[in-house]
Amino acid sequence: MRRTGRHRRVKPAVALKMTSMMDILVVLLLFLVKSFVADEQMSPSAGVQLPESTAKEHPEDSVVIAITETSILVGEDWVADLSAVMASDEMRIEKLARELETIRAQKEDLARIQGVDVQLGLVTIQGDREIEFAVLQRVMYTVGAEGWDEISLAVIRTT
Amino acid sequence: MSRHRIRKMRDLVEADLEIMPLMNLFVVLIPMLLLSAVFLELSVIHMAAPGGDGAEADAKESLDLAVHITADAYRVEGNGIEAREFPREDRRDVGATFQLAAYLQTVATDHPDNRAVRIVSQPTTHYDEIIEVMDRSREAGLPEASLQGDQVSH
Repeated sequence: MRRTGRHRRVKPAVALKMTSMMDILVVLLLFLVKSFVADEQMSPSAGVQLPESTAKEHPEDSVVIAITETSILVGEDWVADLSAVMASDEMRIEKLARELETIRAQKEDLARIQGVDVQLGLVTIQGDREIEFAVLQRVMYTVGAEGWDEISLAVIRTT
Repeated sequence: MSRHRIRKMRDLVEADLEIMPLMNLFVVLIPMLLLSAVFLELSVIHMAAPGGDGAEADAKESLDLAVHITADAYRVEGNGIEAREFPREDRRDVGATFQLAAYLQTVATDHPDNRAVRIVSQPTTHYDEIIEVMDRSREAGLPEASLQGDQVSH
């Protein structure tokens, strides 16, 4: 039997219930606004599981050396393989020293242009929790030998 | 009340709030804040780079407190204090860490002028063990920790 237009059902207009979604969004927004920090934050380097600590000092702008379980990086740049570093008897890590020398030269050039004394500032070491002291010792020795006298160790803050 | 008026009232009550502009704002704000959110808060522990000769000269006259971390124990040594060893079963032995913290607290209370501690590690000591001892020392009132190797091979 053919349906006529008169018998066809009219679909009711569906109004989306937005209230519950708005509730979620408001809560999410408040949480995110609360955790928002305007300063640029230091973030852990990829491949590094930092140890936890009760230290409370905030990280400062610095040269970041990341030590993963396999390699050493300065900023985002790969510098040396950990296996090669440990195979050597030298305390000084040559490739790391060269990278630090480059950074030092850049800072010196900048200071000369600005007409101020050169300040090397801080070096922050982001070491994986599983690395051995022998690696850390070599990195710290190299940093110290290259003229940086302030080192900070990055950790994940616990309460 | 006339039927026409009742219908008009019903239309007024059923009017929806115009929330689309608010939704648009949320859709922009939430991804922006999510991108800038810090879920892991980082801290730092400041320390001096190795190589200072003055510290070693001073150490002979002062307390020269040192915590040695070995594979099976923590050992506390210093001038004029009783050397103590706290055996530990593994690197996550909480009991030994508590004993170490309690002894460091006693030493710090007896020597209020001393704020320094040397943390002497083996080449195979893990980084998180060193941070753990630094935390316990700082909490005991010895915030100036320096790191040293037990078998330095230059």
